[in-house]
Amino acid sequence: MDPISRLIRELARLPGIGQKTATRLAFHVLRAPAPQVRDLAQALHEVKEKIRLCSHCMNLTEHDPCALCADASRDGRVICVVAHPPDLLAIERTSSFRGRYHVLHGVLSPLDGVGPDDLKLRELLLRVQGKPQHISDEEDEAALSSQPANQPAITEIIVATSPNVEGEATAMYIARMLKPLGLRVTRIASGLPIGGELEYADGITIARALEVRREI
Amino acid sequence: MRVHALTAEGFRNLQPLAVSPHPRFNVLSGDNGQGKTNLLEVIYVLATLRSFRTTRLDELVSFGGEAAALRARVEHRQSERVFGVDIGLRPSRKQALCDGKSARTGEYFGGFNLILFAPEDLRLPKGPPSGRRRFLDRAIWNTCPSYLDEVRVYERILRSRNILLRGGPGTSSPTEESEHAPSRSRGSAPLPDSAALLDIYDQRLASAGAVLFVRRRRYVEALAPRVAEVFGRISGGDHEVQVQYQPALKPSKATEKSSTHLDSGRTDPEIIAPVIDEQRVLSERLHAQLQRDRRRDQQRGFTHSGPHADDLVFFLDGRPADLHASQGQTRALVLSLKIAEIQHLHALLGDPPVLLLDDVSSELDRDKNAALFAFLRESVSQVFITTTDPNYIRIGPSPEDRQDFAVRAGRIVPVESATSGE
Repeated sequence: MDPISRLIRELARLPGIGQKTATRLAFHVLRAPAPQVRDLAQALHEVKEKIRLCSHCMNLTEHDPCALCADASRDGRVICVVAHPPDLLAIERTSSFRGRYHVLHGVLSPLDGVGPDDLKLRELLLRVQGKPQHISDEEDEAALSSQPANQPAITEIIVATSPNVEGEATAMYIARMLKPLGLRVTRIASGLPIGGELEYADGITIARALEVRREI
Repeated sequence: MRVHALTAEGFRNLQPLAVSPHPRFNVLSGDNGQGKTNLLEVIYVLATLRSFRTTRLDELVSFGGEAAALRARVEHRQSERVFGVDIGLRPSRKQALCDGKSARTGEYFGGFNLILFAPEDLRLPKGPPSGRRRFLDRAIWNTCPSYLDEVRVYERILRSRNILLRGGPGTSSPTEESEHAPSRSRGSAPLPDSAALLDIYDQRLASAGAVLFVRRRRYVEALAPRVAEVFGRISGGDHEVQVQYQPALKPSKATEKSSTHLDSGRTDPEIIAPVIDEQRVLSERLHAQLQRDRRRDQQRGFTHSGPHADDLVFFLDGRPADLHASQGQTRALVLSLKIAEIQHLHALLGDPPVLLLDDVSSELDRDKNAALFAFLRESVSQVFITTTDPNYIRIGPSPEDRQDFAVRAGRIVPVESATSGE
């Protein structure tokens, strides 16, 4: 196969890119200055070579443990469980959480064929139990040998998955998994959005907001 | 509610159109296949963001075209809004617009309600339960736009549970093997087993299902007396009709068989308690039912109990109408149901909804047609009627209440004076 066809074929395998776009991108690459193309190739290569999962929190990182897990000023007793790395970033941007994280890399979704073994749930369980976690995809000796820096016992798990069908099911699953260990498992609140209007809220949201109402 | 101006471009076979509908009766006549129903569909899509004939966007766009644009200027309680829907095929998209600005569905709905009465409705009592659930869902959605999201959430949980029943992810994966071989994963405690996942979906299905149970129960409770009253009037008081909501939830053990059809409000606290408590009670009952049914559900691979299996049942003089009502009685029943739906929505909104009648008159006999038009004259709704024969349309002696349109090959042309009023 000639290099152009090969490039088109590879690009077309990316999500959201069809044959037409792949062809356009391939010819763009072909016309681009050589250093730019080399940078792109290197970036693609490095992201695969250098980025891996933090052996503690399963977040994407270049160094293991990741910066968040290595940060001694964070409270290791509280762990916030999120579905995806961008969710972690969204919480970090608020600077309102100073505990640590655990990234599941997905949510339970029977419709999409995602079960408990497809997520970093076992890793969460092991972490909570204070046992070394294994990286499920590859055996990474370095990750296994790097010891957590004086991890205190975990006391609370905050489940911060989205309040949709899959996020709720995942949260309930985690509660079921961890409650028997005597941990406090909490769920981020859901209800009316700040700045939103009650009139336009759906019945489920209003019902939930009423259910978890607070005294003022 | 009144549609004061209506435009459409690129929609099915319709030529670009701009009409100013009459505030009362708009009669669209023409032969079959000329585009009468397409015009009703334009209005329907504008009010509901969906079609009553198809779920495929490409069918709505003119053959060979790539986009359609619909607009309606609608008056609701002395204020006017312009509702718009843009449909594109490449890429496939549907954009709702409110006063020219793109609107999310939460902002769009409210202010343009309509009720469609089509020949298919006449088969409701004797047809499959799915048709009656669709009727209920559309009618409830009209009274409460967020109901749609509630149904969607429920359906998503239901489909997920059904997959798990048939052994989806987490039920036949290594998790299950590790149940039998707990030492597999380096001496660690295994993840919760597959039954745990199903437990979670039982719980979620029960709480989402309870939301629908309560909505449907309340709606039918409000509708039933109206249906009985209208039917009494149409049938000259010779027969009695009852409408009952039949949730797919077995009554609690102590309940008598006779109240299987509806054990709504059986215990007084349920009536008095706010919706949240009612939901909780029903949720607990559905949850218990799901747990009891689990083995059977797993064997058959689907969920037996829940709102997706609800029904609406009609009784004529105390006997099931699907078995005992004549053709004429069935039609009178449907007519009463639709009229009750209109009255109820009108009372709730404080403004009459727009009515679309798709060639219904040809399906009704002389007496029922007379009853229908007597009601329509009494109501103050704006009405759009399609017919192949304007003689069916007996609006009455005042031609100033009526505008006729001739529909031919996708063109909609106002007819100068009402020539066929009576």
